[in-house]
Amino acid sequence: MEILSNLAIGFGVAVTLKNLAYCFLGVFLGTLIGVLPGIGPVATVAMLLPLTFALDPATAMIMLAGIYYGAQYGGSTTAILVNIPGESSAVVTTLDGYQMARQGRAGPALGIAAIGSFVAGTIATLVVALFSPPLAEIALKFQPADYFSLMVFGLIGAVVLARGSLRKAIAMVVIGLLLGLVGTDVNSGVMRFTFGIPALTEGISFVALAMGMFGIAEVVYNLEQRGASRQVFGSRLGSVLPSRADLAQSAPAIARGTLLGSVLGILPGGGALLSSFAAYTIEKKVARPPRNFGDGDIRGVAAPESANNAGAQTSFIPMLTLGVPSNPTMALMIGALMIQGIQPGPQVMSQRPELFWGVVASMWIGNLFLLALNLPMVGLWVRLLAVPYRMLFPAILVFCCIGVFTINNNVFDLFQLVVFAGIGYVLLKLGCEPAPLVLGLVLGPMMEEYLRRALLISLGDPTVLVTSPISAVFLLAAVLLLASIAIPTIRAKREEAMKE
Amino acid sequence: MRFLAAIATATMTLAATQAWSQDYPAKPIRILVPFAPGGFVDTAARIVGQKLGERWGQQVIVENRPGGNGFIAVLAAAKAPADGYTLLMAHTGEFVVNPAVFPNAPYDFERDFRPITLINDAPIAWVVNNNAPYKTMQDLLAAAKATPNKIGASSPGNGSINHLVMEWMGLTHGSKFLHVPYKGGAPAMAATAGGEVPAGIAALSSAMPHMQSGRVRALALTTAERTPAFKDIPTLKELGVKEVEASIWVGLFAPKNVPQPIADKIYGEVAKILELPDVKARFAAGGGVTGGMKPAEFTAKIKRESTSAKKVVVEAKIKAE
Amino acid sequence: MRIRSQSNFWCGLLFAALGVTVMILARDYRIGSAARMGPGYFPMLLGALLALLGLTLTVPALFRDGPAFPRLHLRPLAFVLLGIAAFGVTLEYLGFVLAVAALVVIGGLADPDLRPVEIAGVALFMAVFSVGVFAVLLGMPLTLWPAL
Repeated sequence: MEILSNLAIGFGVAVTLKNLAYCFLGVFLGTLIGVLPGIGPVATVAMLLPLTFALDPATAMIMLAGIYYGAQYGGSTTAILVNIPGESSAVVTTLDGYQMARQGRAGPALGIAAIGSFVAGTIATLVVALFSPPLAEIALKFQPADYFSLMVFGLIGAVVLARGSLRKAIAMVVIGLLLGLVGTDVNSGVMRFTFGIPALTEGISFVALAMGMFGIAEVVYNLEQRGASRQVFGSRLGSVLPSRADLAQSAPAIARGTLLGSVLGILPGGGALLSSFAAYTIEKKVARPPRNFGDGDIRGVAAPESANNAGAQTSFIPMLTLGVPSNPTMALMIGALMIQGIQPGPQVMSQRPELFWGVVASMWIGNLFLLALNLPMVGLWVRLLAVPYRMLFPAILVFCCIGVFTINNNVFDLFQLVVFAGIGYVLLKLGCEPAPLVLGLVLGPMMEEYLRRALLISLGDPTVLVTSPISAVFLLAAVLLLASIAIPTIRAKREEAMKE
Repeated sequence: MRFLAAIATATMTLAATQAWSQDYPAKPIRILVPFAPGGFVDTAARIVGQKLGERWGQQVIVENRPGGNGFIAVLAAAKAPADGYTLLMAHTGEFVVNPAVFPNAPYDFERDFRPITLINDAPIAWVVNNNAPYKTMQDLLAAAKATPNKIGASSPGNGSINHLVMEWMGLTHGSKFLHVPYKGGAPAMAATAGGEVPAGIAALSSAMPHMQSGRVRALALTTAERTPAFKDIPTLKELGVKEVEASIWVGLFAPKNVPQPIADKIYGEVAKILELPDVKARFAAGGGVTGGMKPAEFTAKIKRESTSAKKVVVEAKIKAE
Repeated sequence: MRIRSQSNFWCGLLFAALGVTVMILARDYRIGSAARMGPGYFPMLLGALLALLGLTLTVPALFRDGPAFPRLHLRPLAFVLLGIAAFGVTLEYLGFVLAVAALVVIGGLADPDLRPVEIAGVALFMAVFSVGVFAVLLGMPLTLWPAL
């Protein structure tokens, strides 16, 4: 029962007045920046970094970690209320979350997001406590070929995200992949499709694209609807919290999302992001009855929100045990530890147990704070929707613009926002949904990078893609998923043809 | 009229400059950083910025302007008013590697900047996976010579100083590696630690976690001398690769025409900050040596390294296509 | 010939044109081979795929009924986009506060039911609120007023 004594050490550290206060400060700030679209945890953690010099390492990490997973809670708020995904993992939440808000069910959507996140956070914290070292080994075992096959699987899953035409969804994925090519090619150093603009050498701004295609395009679309149809939000507010039936329906979705997020979260790179997409895709395939996805199904909010919060917790595993950051925020935390004179790595657990277990224990306490902080806020957010749209939409525009600008402090990103808002509007009108495009944009560059690296290391031998067991499993899963998408469509087509 | 206006502006600027020198700093100072938050350049800016702020009682804002191989931040600093209120924290990449790799880089170190001081100088290390058959640097070099372009070595990116060192070894020593670029030092070292590629070349700070966990071994450093924190790692020079010398440094710069008294004042204060024990300890954690080098010495160092880098780039035919 | 689904016809044509454009631009990059891909390999492949997908939308649209071409509303689109661009330009030269005001006022024109007094109120409120949250509370490095 070593784990109990370890957790006792952890809670001993986390439950001091000072650490509780900093934990609360962290999750509070995290919620705040999560709600403000575009202002991500990276910028906030960076700004607070000098403040942590004066704190002891455990307290510093407890606060910074709180900002990170707190932001995951807050991130769903704008996705649900106004269709603005503040970061990539919230893109899927917009699909059903925003539809629920339009139907006057913003309260249950926000509520289930908070409850799902809490459950996922609690379970994932336990996973971190119990399985950190073996899971870290798995993360190191992943080779380029395995990552490539995981990405292929993710991209085929992206097609499932769409509701309408299959061909349009595939085209959207391809356009996303093409947009993802913009920037410096990692393998050769060549700048592709940058047209001599320095700001494009690091690629297209994800936030500008997501906010343009989802948030701004939606604003324009809403402004077209005059009078009554536009006020659909304000008129029916409905209940504030999820009902018993909602909870019963969401429970399996939360469980599946948590499991998926916990596992994928440990993978550096696209892990945490993929987990929210994958959770949605799986839910759409296995949930019974399957009818409402994309039309405001509460499980379409519960699953990805649980997955991304679980992933946020387990992404600490490679950072704390290997010193490998799985995303930019984790890279900052490594910086924070190094400033404190601590080299993140496997020795942290043995040499500084109070730090490791203190942070783990604080994660659970932080999740509790977040639930207490977020559930009462739901009512407030829902009431915000009662503000007439003609006054609400300029505010949405302001938040989007500030969010996009502050990422790189570069005005050019605002012009990207203009371009993608325009494109997003036209695509919306043509019946093309932006979610598959966004996933293509994020996964495309990684997929190409991993494939070319796999072939570089194998000296051009493509069999690495199937000789690695992990890679082979993902490729097989991808083929099965493709078949499950294609066969019903083909069958439907044939029936249609027979009728004619 | 236009001529008069120009004279008036010039006089006013001059008067203003003199007044500023005396009560500098009278308003918040910006330090531009060519990276997103979190990297070691950003961390250096935040450590120094915070101390400067405390000691001068004036806000010091770190502004991240990532992108364009550093061009965006460096250009912004070059074009900023030379009044000491806009500074640049940059590293080897911007002033040694870029001018060599990008012949059309939109800035010129000597024309546009005045170096204040070296902040931190960190060694680059050759490492191998612990299960790799190479026990010493000589083993690794001999193997690379025997089977050229077959032994994979990770680097933080195409056209990084690490990549240049790798090519440099091939040119002068004939040991050619299969260059496998990654997106930054951390993923590159994780790849070597996980056995994806047998070797790697990285800042000592990126390699340290994996050295401590016993997954990788550092075989040699690329600096002229051994580093205090790791006395047992030999240098390439000691091992007979005499020409190759490189490090990853971070330095503070001001726009070229910053008035002398202001540049002196900044140098004086930063040099004192770099002597503080807690600051020294923070930089030492990354295996680096704190700077404090006089501006003239620093300029000479940059010019010397630039010349070598240009030579390597031309001879190894590295180009940003 | 009569086009039976205007929407799908033009959508497919748009994709096909985009795919071909990408392929033309990608000729500047080395293609390499499947085993040793150059930087041009992926773009060329994806461009061709997109062009083909476009054709599978366009051609059937000639024979099978589908959605008609949608009505585009230009007023909201134009003013919203203009407002964002104005925010960018104003921010660069006149500072954050005026940029927020410019965005709210120009963006506000996107709504045909515009009420001038309300928009002025929203502009004032948003300026104060954003300065409070972003500049003061979060301490972001923003230039608030024009440099004089």
